[in-house]
Amino acid sequence: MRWMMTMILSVGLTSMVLAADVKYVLTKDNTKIEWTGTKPGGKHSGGFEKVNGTATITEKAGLTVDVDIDCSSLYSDNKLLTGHLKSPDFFAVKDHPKAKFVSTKVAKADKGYIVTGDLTLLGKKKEVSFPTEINTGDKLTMNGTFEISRSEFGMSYKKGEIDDKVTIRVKVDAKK
Amino acid sequence: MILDAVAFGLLLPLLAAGVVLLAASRMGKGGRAVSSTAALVVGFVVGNHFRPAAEYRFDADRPLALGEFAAEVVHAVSGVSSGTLHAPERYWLPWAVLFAVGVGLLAHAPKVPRIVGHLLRVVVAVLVARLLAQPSLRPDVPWLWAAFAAVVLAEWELLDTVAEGAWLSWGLGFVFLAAGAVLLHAHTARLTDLATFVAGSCFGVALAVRWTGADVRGIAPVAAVALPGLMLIGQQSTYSEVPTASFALVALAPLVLTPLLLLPERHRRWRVFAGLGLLLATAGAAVFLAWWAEPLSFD
Repeated sequence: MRWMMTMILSVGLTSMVLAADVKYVLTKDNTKIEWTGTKPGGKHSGGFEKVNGTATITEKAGLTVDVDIDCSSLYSDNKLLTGHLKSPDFFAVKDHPKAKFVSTKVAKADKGYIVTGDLTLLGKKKEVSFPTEINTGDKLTMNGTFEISRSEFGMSYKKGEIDDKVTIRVKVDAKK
Repeated sequence: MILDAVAFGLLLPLLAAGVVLLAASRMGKGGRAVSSTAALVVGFVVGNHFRPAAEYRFDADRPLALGEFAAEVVHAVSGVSSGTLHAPERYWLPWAVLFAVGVGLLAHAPKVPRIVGHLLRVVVAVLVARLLAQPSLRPDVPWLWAAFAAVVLAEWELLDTVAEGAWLSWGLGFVFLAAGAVLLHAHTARLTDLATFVAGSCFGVALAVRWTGADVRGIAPVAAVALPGLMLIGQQSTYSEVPTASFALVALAPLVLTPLLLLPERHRRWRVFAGLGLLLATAGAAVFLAWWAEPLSFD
C-alpha cells in the first residue's frame, strides 16, 4: 500500500513539473537572425536561413534559449559578398560550420528583459548580453537587437577598414 | 585598397627578400647556400606583419603553446585525437612550408648523401600532406593526402633539379601571383595575401640573384608545398564559381617544367625560354578560367 502511494505521488509530482514546463521549438520559419555590417561610406545586411533550437520555460530556471545556427546558410544583400563572408576572411564556414547561442540568464529589466548567454562563433565562446522584448503564452515572441565585436571572435579581417561592431537582430515568433 | 595590397603585400616582401639575399650572399659559401631560403622566409614574415593573413598561434589572445602545438601535429599526422582543439588546414600552411625549407637546407648540407636528401624529402612530403590534406577535409576522398604527398615530392624534386639563376624565381613569382588572382576571384583576400607575399619574395630573390652567386634551390620546397597547399585549401574553403581546373592548374604548374629535363644543359637559353613560357602559359590559363567564371567587383 505504501509502495502504491509512493508511486502515485511520484507520478503526480512529475506530471505537475512537466505541466509547468513550456517548450517552443525554434526553426527557420519562426526564428530570424539577421545582421548588419558597416564600413565608412557603406553597409551590408544579411542573415542565416537555417537556425534551430528550443526555448524552454521552467518554474526553476525561467526562460532558457538554446539555438544552433548553420553558418553555411549565411546570406547577404550581394551574392558575391556572401561567398566572401563564408570564406576564411570572415566566417570560415568550412572550418566552423556552426555557431551557437545558449542563454545563461534572462532577467527582468525596466523595459523588457535582459538576455545573457554564451555565443560561440568561429569556435570561440564569448558572453553577450542584450535587451529583448519577450512575450510568452501560446506563442513566444522575442525581439532584440545587439552589437558584437567581430574581432573578439577572431574575425579580424580588414579591422579598421570594415567596422568591428556588427549589429545582430533576433526575432522569434514561435508557437508551443 | 589595391595600392595597399601592392605596397605592403608585394613590394615590401620583394624589398625585404632582396635585401636579405644580398646580405646573406656576402657571408661566404654558407651564406650563399641559405640566402634564398632566408630571403623567402623573411619576405613572407614582413608581408604578414603589415597585412596579417596567416595566424601563427591557435588563439590570438594566447601565446604559442608548444605542448598544444605538438599534440595537434600528432593528431593531424596520426589521426589520434588531441581533445577539442583542432586547427584548420590553413593554419598549418606556413609551418609546413617552414618545416620543408628547413629540411631542404639539411638535404643540401655538405656531407649529406644525395640519397638521404631524397629520403628526407619523401618524409617531409608525407608529413605535410597529413597536415594540409587531413582526412576531415574530404572524408569521401581517402587517397587525397597520398596524392598531395606525391605532388609535393614530384614538384620539389623537379624544381630542385632545374633551379638555377633568376628565371625560376621570376616564373614561380608569376605563378604565385596567379595563385593570388585565382584566390581573389574565389573571394578570399586572406589567402590571396599569402600568395602575394610569396610572389613578392620570389621577385625579390629574382632581382637580387643577378648580383650574387646565391643558391636559388631554396625556392623549391617553398613552391612545392605552398602552391598545392594554398590551392587545395582555397578550393575547399571558398564559395565561388571558380572552376577546380583553375586551382589545379596553379597547384600543378611547376610540373609543366618536366620537359626541361630532356633539354641538354648546354641549351641554357632555350631552357629559360621554355621554362618561363610554360609557367606563364599555365598561370595565365588558370587566371583566365577564374576570371571567366567569377566576376570580382562588389562594394
